[in-house]
Order: sequence, then structure tokens, then C-alpha cells
Amino acid sequence: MAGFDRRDFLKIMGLAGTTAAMGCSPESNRTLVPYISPPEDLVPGESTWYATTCRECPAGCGVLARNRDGRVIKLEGNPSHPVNEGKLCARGQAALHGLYNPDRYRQPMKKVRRNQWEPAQWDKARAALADRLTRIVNRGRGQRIAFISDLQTGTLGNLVHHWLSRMGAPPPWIYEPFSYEPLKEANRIAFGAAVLPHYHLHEADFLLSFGAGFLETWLSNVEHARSFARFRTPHEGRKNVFVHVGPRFSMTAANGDLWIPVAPGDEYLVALGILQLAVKHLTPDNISGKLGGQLLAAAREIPLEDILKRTGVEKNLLEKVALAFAQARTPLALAEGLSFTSPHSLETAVAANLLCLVREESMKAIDFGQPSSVQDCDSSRRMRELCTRMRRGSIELLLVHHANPAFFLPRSWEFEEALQEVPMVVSFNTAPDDTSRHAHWVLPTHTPLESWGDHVPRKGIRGLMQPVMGPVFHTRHLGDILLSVGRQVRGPHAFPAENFREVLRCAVQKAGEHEAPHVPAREFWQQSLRRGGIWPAREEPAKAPPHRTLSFSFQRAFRTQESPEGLHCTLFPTVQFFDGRGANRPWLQELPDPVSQVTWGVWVEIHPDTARKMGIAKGDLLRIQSPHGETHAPALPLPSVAPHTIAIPMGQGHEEFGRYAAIHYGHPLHLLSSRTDDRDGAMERQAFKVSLEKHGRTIPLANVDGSIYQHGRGFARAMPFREHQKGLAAGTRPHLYLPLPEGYDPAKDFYPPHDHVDYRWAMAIDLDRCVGCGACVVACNAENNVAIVGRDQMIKGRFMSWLRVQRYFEEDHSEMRFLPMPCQHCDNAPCESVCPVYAPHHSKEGLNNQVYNRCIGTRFCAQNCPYKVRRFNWFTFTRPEPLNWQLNPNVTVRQKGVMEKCSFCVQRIIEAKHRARDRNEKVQDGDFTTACAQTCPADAIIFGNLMDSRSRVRKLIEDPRTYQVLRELNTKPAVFYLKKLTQNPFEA
Amino acid sequence: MTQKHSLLGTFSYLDDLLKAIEQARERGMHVETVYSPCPNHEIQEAMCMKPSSVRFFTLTGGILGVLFGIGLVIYTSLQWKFIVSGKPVIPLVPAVVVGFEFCILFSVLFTVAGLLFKSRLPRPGLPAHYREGLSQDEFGLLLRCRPEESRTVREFLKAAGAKEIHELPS
Amino acid sequence: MEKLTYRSIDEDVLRNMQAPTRTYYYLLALCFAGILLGAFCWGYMIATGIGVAGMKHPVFWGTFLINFVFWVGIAHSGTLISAILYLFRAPWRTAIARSAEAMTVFAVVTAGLFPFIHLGRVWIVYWILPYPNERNLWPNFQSPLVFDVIAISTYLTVSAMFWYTGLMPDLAVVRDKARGIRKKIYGALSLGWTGSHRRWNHYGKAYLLFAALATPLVISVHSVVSWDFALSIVPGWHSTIFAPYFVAGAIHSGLAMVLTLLIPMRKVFRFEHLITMNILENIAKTIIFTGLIVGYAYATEYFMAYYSGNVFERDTMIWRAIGNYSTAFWIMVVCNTLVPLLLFFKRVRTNLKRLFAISILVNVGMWYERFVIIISSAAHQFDPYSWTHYSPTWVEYGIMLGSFSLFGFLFLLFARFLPTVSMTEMKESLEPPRRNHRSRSISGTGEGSS
Repeated sequence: MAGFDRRDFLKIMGLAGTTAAMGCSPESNRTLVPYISPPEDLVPGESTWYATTCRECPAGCGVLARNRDGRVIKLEGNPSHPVNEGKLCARGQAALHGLYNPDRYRQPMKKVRRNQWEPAQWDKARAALADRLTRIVNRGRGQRIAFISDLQTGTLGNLVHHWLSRMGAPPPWIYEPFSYEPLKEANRIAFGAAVLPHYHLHEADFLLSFGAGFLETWLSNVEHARSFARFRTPHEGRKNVFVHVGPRFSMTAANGDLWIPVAPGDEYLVALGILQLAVKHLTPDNISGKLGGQLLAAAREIPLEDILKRTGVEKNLLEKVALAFAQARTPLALAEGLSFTSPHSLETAVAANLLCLVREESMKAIDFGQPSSVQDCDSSRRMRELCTRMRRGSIELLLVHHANPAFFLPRSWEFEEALQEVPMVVSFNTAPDDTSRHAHWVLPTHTPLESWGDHVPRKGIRGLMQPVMGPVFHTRHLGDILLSVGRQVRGPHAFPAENFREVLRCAVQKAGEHEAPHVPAREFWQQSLRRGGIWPAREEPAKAPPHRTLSFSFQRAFRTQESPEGLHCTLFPTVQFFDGRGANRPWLQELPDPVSQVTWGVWVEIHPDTARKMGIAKGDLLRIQSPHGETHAPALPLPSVAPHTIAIPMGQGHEEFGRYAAIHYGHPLHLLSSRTDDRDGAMERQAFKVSLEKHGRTIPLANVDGSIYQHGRGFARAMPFREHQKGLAAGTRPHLYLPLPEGYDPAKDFYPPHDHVDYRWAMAIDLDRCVGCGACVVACNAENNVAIVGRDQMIKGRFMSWLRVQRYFEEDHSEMRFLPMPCQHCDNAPCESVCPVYAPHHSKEGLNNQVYNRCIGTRFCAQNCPYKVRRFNWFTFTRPEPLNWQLNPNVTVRQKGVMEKCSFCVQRIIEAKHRARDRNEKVQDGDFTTACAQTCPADAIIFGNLMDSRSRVRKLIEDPRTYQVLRELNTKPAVFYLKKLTQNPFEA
Repeated sequence: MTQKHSLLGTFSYLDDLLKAIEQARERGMHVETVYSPCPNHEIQEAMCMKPSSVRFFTLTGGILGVLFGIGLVIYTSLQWKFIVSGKPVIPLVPAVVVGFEFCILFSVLFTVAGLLFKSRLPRPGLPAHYREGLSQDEFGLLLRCRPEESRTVREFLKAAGAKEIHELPS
Repeated sequence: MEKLTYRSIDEDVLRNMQAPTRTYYYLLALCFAGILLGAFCWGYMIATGIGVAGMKHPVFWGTFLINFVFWVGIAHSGTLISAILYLFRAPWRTAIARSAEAMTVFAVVTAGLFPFIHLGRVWIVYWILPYPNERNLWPNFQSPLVFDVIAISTYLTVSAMFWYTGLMPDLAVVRDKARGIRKKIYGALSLGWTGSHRRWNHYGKAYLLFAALATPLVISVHSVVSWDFALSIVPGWHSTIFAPYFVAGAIHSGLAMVLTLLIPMRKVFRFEHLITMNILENIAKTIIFTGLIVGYAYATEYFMAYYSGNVFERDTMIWRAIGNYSTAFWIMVVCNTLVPLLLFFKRVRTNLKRLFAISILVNVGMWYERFVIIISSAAHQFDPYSWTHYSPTWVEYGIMLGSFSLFGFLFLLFARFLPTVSMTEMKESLEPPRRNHRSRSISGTGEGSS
């Protein structure tokens, strides 16, 4: 990072974020000069926090960026932000790897010939664009300009609209692969409004999900994870039931009380079946007459026995679910509503809505008052039109901003071919991707973290974005590019604003005039910046939909016949990669998939029995063929799918997306046709089966799990909910070996106890809250400078993450459990005594210290750790410039030959102790927490002082659910787990 | 002793040698040294040797070793008072192992020292009267006498069956 | 042994010190090349990182420690033969004691390298030594690895001293038979030894004390090595049987190695009448004995695993026999416990070829025993999520080859430049030459000079 840039940036940033110039920083001399007059607000070694908004997905979580000496080193959730309340998912935190990505465009690029680029100066690049525009506009052929952008909701979106209209161009194509057209359409059908409402899961008391991965990518996963945690926290002696119906035992499904496996596309049948069976339990008072009639009609359209025959779900199970549904006060049914994951997504969405229609109360959980902005995305149909126009050659200038249709659209669309027909393609991208590689010019824009802007995730919430550090490379803000180009084309009067920041400030201040009339405009602007956005002080109750009615026929879907042979196939987005935009973030590539535990690659989940029948072994490269296309991926036999189904993740298979997205095969959307659904305008996913064919090659899978079972070793434990209730009533205490003097018992302990000074740090992990999303893992990597080892080393088993979320299947495959496993900081740590040089030893506060500089690398400690949480530096793992800018200066970067492991974020402990000492008091509970606990969307991880009887940890571990992993070894771990609470209300 | 002569008689047979030693004693001659290619208890008896004092070196070494070992463990563990694996700061059980090993080490070192010291080794050259056969298959009997006696001693050795007799003034 | 005389012994034994044949130099060159290869691999690993070896999470210990334990094991029979059998007055040890001791010293040297090779940061290995330093940092004397350092270095010192003391009189013999520069060199090496009755007196006492000290040491050293594993909590390692089990195993492998070395040497140097068939048979019988102990230890391990009811222990043991490493496991069982039983048959025992073959097999088996113990436990510990499969890389094989070459190299030099059989002790075991032979029991043979 250039010293000049940074100082400049910080000086101005010091005046509470009025950094006009930053959008377009001057040419910098790349020499580091020591501070002569240090910027006002910079205390070396002290970090500054800037509030901004996460743009890794449309959910728009609030972010606090930790800037240390001019470089942002960590992203954390903004606690006051209504969407994520201080939490951030793995993708959000990995935004740093977008910012510091070594493959980013460093300056404008001009394509000289195929795959050959040369750098250009900004003014030349701008001129090139301006000239072309002028020519087009002057000839009045503005209609031949097309602008494709990712979801831009706020001021930038408006600017783009305005700019295009000034150019006489059609409005932009807002392209988000996940635009949920079927969901929109279904809502129009059932509620009379083609919107994506805001779902309050916690308002419901019975949750039915039809393939909706709301904990992974669906609409707003962090928010849903939080409200889901509230939903299923036991209260009034009951625990709400969540049933997942879908083709895959996904991470979301794993958090349910029951997974009903069905073939992809049959979800709606199950919904209808439930409705039919529920009706007879419903009394007139809870189902309104007229609507009830319509419902019944719709539900009865397909006879129950056909449903049972087609889906293969047992009747009595369906009946039990229906009964539970009928008895629920506010049942809520969700559908994924992504057209390409399974067939008949519209039917599924409608059927789910039918279930929501049954009870008036369900509307409490569906808020039509704050629809999500994702609904503003254009349908695939409109993309289709653009595609045709491009191929017809009626597009002369194509501007692409951050969107990557060339990756996501199926090959059958021939979008890339269409791109060839466009005489000039200009990409405003941050890093090379599948689309920008077809551009003629690249005018690189800032990443969101370097940009001014605002984003409206849903109505009523406007998150503000401000640069959290100076630009890393010679990039510009799209707004500024548009303004200056616009001025060149249409003259200065057309775009008076000097830069985009001004535009934004005006917009915000205007908003302030009726948001907070009494606050002075400038102050409102600064307050909003500090807060991170503008939103109502408290949440309003859900607004009801315009009306509740329906007219829809399921016959069409039901009648479509599938070929008898072949396997069903479901495509699923993953929590790491969303639609694939995360694939160039090494943190996300190295984050094991929650279910498959695979890193750095694509795979095909196939049921072990099926695999055995077909003679397919793990890692066999398969050719998966549909009537419309084919794709290739290695097989992973896993009981996460039904025997008749295979599942393929989305996100890999980029043609070009930087060095970290190096898997060029296995993009599942190539299985789809180019047709769009005439009803919702979504990409059509025909009901087809796929055929598998072995390549004969095997591709090693970089999965990190050894055995998928626990072999009765009680690592990830669960207990029936009822039993737990009894336990609570009886006041049973858990049987623990506390890492405190009281935990020692002469009968059992050979050695006397030892004391701690003031603190005994400990952690409680609630397995009933943990959803397995892996946000904690990325948080740990970011906080502790954990090395990224890459695919080859992963295959060799050299992964470094200090914290891993273990995934265990129960032997009968009915249940999947997640177990976050950090260092247990045992009181009798086996690793300590075996080290010949005292590198690991017990601190006065109970920490299991690891002194890197003392370690000589005998590796005995790791060999002797029963929890296998120690990590050895097999090499000196390095990070390519500028990824290393992210390193946390408070944590040593380890060299080869050194052992490392979770330190309970000792640097944070020390910081907190310093703060407390300044107030001359002891550290209080909640003063600070570890990185993993800080970011956990479900608050599953609680960190604190065990010697403080009022600390949350201390209180939590009195729950009868509490247990210690491998307690019988008497290592006295300081990490306590609270058993997952299982309940099966449907068992015979 | 400059006026003394030393005579070395070499013998091929042990019994001759032993007899020679006895007679030399009876005649009151001074038996300086007896050489043999390998240790032989009969010679030891004939020369009525006391058991070697090397063992006292060994004993000292052993005692020192134990003390050093255990002392080292206790001293070092008191420097930082690290708690490892919840064990007491002063590890007495492991100290036994360390003490034992040092005991052996020190006793052996002392034994070697004792052996070398006692047998005046190492030394650069060999005594002038030394004969190479002595290390292989000959026994040697070294007598000291005043020059005027040397003739009688020579006689005596010849009578005793010495193969060769070397005389040299030392 | 009747026809042996003091002179003939010298001539026979020193035959090996005459100018060697061409094959000798070929062998020497081969071993040297092997050493260079090993050195290169090690250098490469230091430069890049331990990652170039096959070790991974959670198999943090690989072939380096396997070879370490293997070589330490080899090192044990030397002292056993020269010290323990000496105390037990076993006459047949005399002819082979010297080469067994040499083997011990070289094996310890080789073994001693592996802890270094194994280290992640070998350049600061001296931190493991208790030396005064300004930071006042000391090693952790609770760590079995520190026991190891002390025990192994003690063992190296002691066995080297023991060996050298035994050599001194023989070096004197060489000196007295040699001329010119050789005479000077061996003169210096023999420290000016002459067989005067005083020196023999001290020498005898010292030698006896050595034997008395080496005997407990040899037991302790391999016990300490076994505690590297037994003091951990890893299933399959954490067991009280380990110390005796390892000691027995060590002697088992050591004796096998003695045979592997002696049988060719005996042939090359025509030592048939020094190292008689009777001696080889005795070794063979001892191997049967140690083999039975080892087999018993295997059985006990399984019984404990079954009887303790400890799920981890039990799983590990079952997995050893049927899991990834079952081949290694069965090689171990067959070679170490079943094959030696063949030695019950005199026909096998007395047939050099078969004896040699069996000795090789036992060596292989013992190497695999260490492999099974170390790898199969490490790869299959408490946490099923971390179970994995380990296999060595070319770097590890290269270093392993290097270690064997180093051992061979040293032994070849020994066989060329030093008396491979203790002439002093051979003479001692003879009836000394007398003019008129009176009948005298041979009970004195092999007796110490005490």
C-alpha cells in the first residue's frame, strides 16, 4: 500500500468521512515514507472502525471494517444494523479477499487480441468509451446501448438509470442469478403482489421448508439464521418443529427435526398432500370459508393416492406432519423459489403459499411491508431478449458492471457467442471473470469496500457504504466514471455533480429531511455514516398482503412425464460461493462445505448404495448428461441424497475467475436448456433425469473429514427434548470435570489442582444453536492470520484452520450433527508435558499457551492431542501481494516447522485487559469476545471467564445438556458443549 | 636409580614364567613388571595384586551423577515454574529417570578417567625394554638389579627358560 | 578351538586388515553414494519444510521416528552380547562381542540422526539441551523426548567407551605387528598400551564395571524410547507393557542384525573356526526366545485392548489388523513371531543360507513393527473426523536409504581398519601355552580377568 495514498486517505478520513478525493486517488509514488505529520485520528497500533455495507450478496448486511494503520484487516457485523445485528457470514467476511485479491485489475485494460490485454491510462480508457458513446448517441441509436449490472438499489442504481436515459438507452438489465422469479410469481398468485416479502421465521411456531436453503443463501441467510435461532430456542416448555422437504440433506435440512427426501420437483406434491390431510383437522374458525373452498379445490386437484405413489412418502408420516401443521398457531411454509435447482419451482412456491394461506396468523411471519430489493432484478426472460438482440447484432455497446452472466447462464444460451457479436463490450469489473474476459475495454471499478454508496436490502432500510481504506489499485468508482464520461458525451450541464460522493450525500441529506427533519443536513449525513445507514428505530409489525386468493392449476406439472431411467438431479447453491461469485476468495475455497466437507472443488453427491450399484468410487470423474447439456465432476458417495437423486453444487467451473477459482469443470447449469418459463419468466428447469458415465479418470477430492460417523465416541451428542425438559424440572446438574480447582477429586486425580489468577477463560458451544455455516471458521482465519494452504496441500491433509466444524452422520443417516472444534484449552492438557522445550504450557489464566518462537517442531504435542486441534506449519505458507495486507498485526505470522493452534484469541484478551486496567477494574463478562463467537449468526458460541460466577459461560454450563468431549480422559477441557436437542414429533 | 640395570626375559610358556617369578622372589630379586599378551589370573596371584582401585572412581562418579541429574531437574523447573499438564512444578518422578541416566554416564566417565589415570595412560612412546612379541604370544619378566648383579640375573633368567634376554641400563 | 594358538589367533583375526579386494571398494562407494542421497534429501527438506515428507494431520510422526526406534533397537544386542552375556559368563560371546559392539556404536550414531531429521526447526535443536543461557530457559524434564536425549547420548558415550577400552590391547597388537606410518597411527590409537600386570589389573576391573553399568543402561535406554509412546495418551501407545515389550523387540532385531552381519563377514574373512557354527546356533536360539517374548507382547496388547473394554483401544487394535495397514501388521506378526519358530529345527538353524534369510526377515518384521505401532495408532486416534491415511514420500525413502548406507559405510570401515574379533579375549579364553601340560579344566575359558 502506498504510504502517500494511505496518509492522504487517513487525514481526510479523520474529518469523519468526508473523503471526496478518495474516489479517484491521484497517481501515487510507491515509496513508503515515515509519518512526518501523522494524521489526526491515527494512533499507530490502534485500529479505527468504519461502518459500511456488505455487498457480497443482495442481503446487504451492515459491516464494521477494522482499519489498522491504513489497511482494513477484518470485517465484522454492525451490531446496530437491523439485518444482521452484528453478525456476518463466511462470504461477508471474505469480502476482504475480494478487496485484496491478487488477480484484481490494477488499471484500465485494453484488449489487443484474444486473451491478450495491455494496460492503458485512465483518460485514454475514458476517451475510448466516450467516443463510442458520442458516436452512438449522436446517431440517436441509444437503444443500441445495453447496461448489465448486478443489483444496484440505491443512489448508484438511480444514477445508472438517469445516465442511461440521458444517453437515450433502455433501462439497465439488473442481473442477479438468484432473482427468485417463481417466488415472486407465486406471491402474485396467492397474495396478489409480485413481491419478495420479508420473512420473520421467529414469528412462526411450525416451519415447513420446501427446499428453501434459508440458512445458506436464500434471500438473507444471516438474518434468517438469527431468526431461526430464535424460532427454535425452546420456550414455554416446547420447541418449535421444523420439517424440511427436499431432494438433498442440505445444511438447512440438517437443522430440521425431520427431513423428508423427495425427488426434485415433487416438493409441491408433498405440500398438497399435507394440505389435503390437514384440512380435516381444521375447524371453520381457523380457515375462512371462501378461501377454504378455494384451498381445498386447489389441494384436491391431485388425488392423495397419486401424490403418495409419485413421491413415495408414507401416508402416516404425511398425516402426522399434517396434524402438526393443523395444530400449529402460526405455521409457515417456505419454498426455495429458484427456478433452476429443481423442476416445478413455481408449483412448489404456490403450494407452499397455499399452506401459508390456511391461517390468518401465518401472515404475522410474512411481512409484505418490507419487500426485499431482490425483486427489482430482471427476469431471465429479459436477459433472454437481450441475448437475442445481441446475437442479432442490434447491440452496439454493452456495458457490464459486476454482473457475470457469462458464467451463470447455461451454455445452451450461447451468451458468450452473443457477446462476440457486440462491437464494443466495456466491463466495469474489479477482477477478471468469465464475462469481462470477453470485454474490449476494462475500466476497473472499486470493490464495495473502497466505494461510496448505499444499498437498500429491503424497503425501509438504507445501508450506507463508505471507503474503509484507500483504493488498493488504480481503480475508479463507477459513479465517477459515468459522471465524467457523461460530461464528455452530453456536456458538463448534463451531469453537474462533481463526483458520486456528492450525489450520494445530497441523496442521503434529502432523505434526512423527512427522516429526521430537526437534524442539520450535514450532521445527519455524518450520523448516518457512523451508524452505517438509515433505518427505523424499531421494527414495525408485518404488513398483510393486498389480498389472499388464488387460481392455479397443478395439472400441467403433474402431467409432465419423466423418463423412467436415469437419476434425478438437483443443483444447489452453497453457503460458501452463493451463485459462484465467492469462488475467487481463498478463504471460501478452503472453507469445507458444511455437508460434504469438500474444499477447493466441485463434486457430485450420490447415495453410497447407488454408487456401489453403479460401481462408482469416491473421486471418479463422472460425465453427467441431461437432454440439454452435460457437465463433469468427481463423485462423492454420501448419504446426503436419496438413492434416486444426485446433487451438484453451483459456484465452481469458472472459465476465468483468477487463480483461486481454478476448477474449470463441473458447472451444473450447463445441464439446462435455453428456454424460459412463460409464466414467471424464469430460467426453465425441465423435469429431466440425468445419466452418469465414468470418465475412467479420478480426481482427488480435497475433503477434510475422515470418518462420517462418530463410532459411538460421543463427540457430537444430542438428547431428546422431552428428556431435557425433565432434567431441567428435576434440576439435574451436568456431570463435568471443571477446569477449576473444584473440578479436582483426589479419588480420581493423581495430581493436586492448580489455581488461576482472576480469570479462567472458557467457552460454551450450543450445538442446538449451531447451524454449521462455518462463519466462525473464516472469522478465525481472518483474526489469527491462519494460512491458506491450497488444494494440493488440502488433499495431502495439511489444512491449517484452527477451528473446524466437524460434520457427523448418525449411523442410520437420519441425522447430521455439526461440532465446532477449537482448542479445548484443557486444564490437564496432554500436549503440554510432552514438549521438550515448554513451547506449550498452562497460563495463569488457564490458557494453553503456544509459544511459536520456542517451538522446535517435534510435533509430539499434536500427536498427543486427543482433539486433534493442533496445526503444524509444514511449509512457510505465504500470501501473494496484496493478500498479505489483510494480516492482523496483533498476531504473529508463523514460519515453517512451528506448531500452532487456537489461542482463544489471546490478543483480544490482552487488549480487553488493558482496557479494563485503564478503567482500573477487572475484565467484565461481555467486554470482548473471540472472533468466532463474535460472528456466529446463531450465537452458538459463548466465551467468558469461568471464575466469574455471573458470567454467561458459567451460567450456561449448568444446563443438564452440558458435556465435555472425551471427558473420560480427564483432560478437563475448558470448552463445554451443550447437546443438540432432538425431537421427532412424528415417530410412530 | 641411574646405576640400576633392568633385564627383560621373554618366555613362551606361562609355567616357566610363573616359576621364574617365584624363584626371583625367593632370591630376593626385585620383580619390576610382568608382561602378558592377555590378562591372566595366575600371574595376578603370583604377583599378589590387590584389587584395582578404579572402582572408587566409579562410585564417586555414580554418586555425583545422581545428585547432578536430580539437582538439575529441580533447579531448572524452579526457574519459570511452568505448569504443564496440570502436574506439579517440580517433577519428581521424571527426575528419577534423569538421575539414573546421569548416574550411569558419570560413573562410566569416571571409570575411564580412573583407568587411564591408574595405568598412566596415555603415554607417547613405549618403554625402551618393550618387545613387540609381548603383546602377541610372549610373556615378559622385567627384573631390576645393580649393574654388578646383572650377570647373575641373566644366568637366572636363562635357567628359568627365558627365550631371549635383553639388558639395558635405565 | 583346540588348534588355536596365541599366534594363530593374531594371524587369523588380523587377516581382515590386509589390502581389501575390489568389491570392498565398490561396496564402500555404493554406501557413500547412499549417504550423499540421504544428505541431499535432508537438505532439501530443511530448505523447503517438513511438508515434503508424507506426514500430515494427524500423522505427525512418520518414517523418521520409525527408523529412529528401529536403529536404537539394533543398537541393543551389541551391549547385550558384550555386557550381559559377559556377566553371565557365556563363552560363545567372545568371538562376536567386538563386531556386536561396533554394530551398537554405529547403530546408535545412525539412530541419533533421526530425531534431528524429524525436527521442524532443526537449526535450533540445541534448545533441547540443558545449557545455561541468558534467557534462563531450560528444557522440560517431564518430556519423554528429553529423557530420550539424555538416554541416547549416554548410551552412545558408554557404548563407545566400552568398545574403545576393549580395543586398546588389540590396537597394541596391531601396532606391534605393523610398520611405518601404520605403526605410528595405531600406536597413537592404543595410547601406548603395554600388557603389564598392573594395567591388566585395572583394565579387568574397569571392564567388569563397564559391563555392570552397561547392563542396566541398555534396559533403561529402550524403556525410555518406549516411553516416547507409552507416556502419551494415544490409543495403542499408552500402555505399561511397552518398556519390556520394546526391550525384547530391540534385542530381537539386534540379534537378527548380528546374524545378518556376521554370516557374510565370517565367510569373507574365513572366520569359520573363530565364529563357529555353535556360536551362530546360540544366537539363533536366543532369537527364538526373544521372538516368543515379542509374540507374547502382541498377544497381551490385544488381550488388554479386549479386556479393558476401552472403546478407543479396542478400535485401534482391530483396525491395526484389518484396516489400512493390515498388510504391514501381518508382515510384522509373521516375520517376528512365526518365522523365528523355524529355528527350532536344527536343520534350519545350522544352514547358513536359511539362517541368513530368517535374520533378514526378522529385521524387516521389526521395521514393520515400529511402522505399525507408530502409524496405525497416529492415523486412527480418538477423533474419527481426523482419521486419515499416511504413506511416505521419496524424501523419506531417500533418508531411510541414507541411514542404512551410513551404517554400512561405518561397518565396512570397521571391518577394514580394526580387529573385528577381540584377540585379547580370544587368547584369554584359550589354555595358555605351557611347557609341560598338566590337566586343567577348561572351566576358566571366557573368564574375566578379575
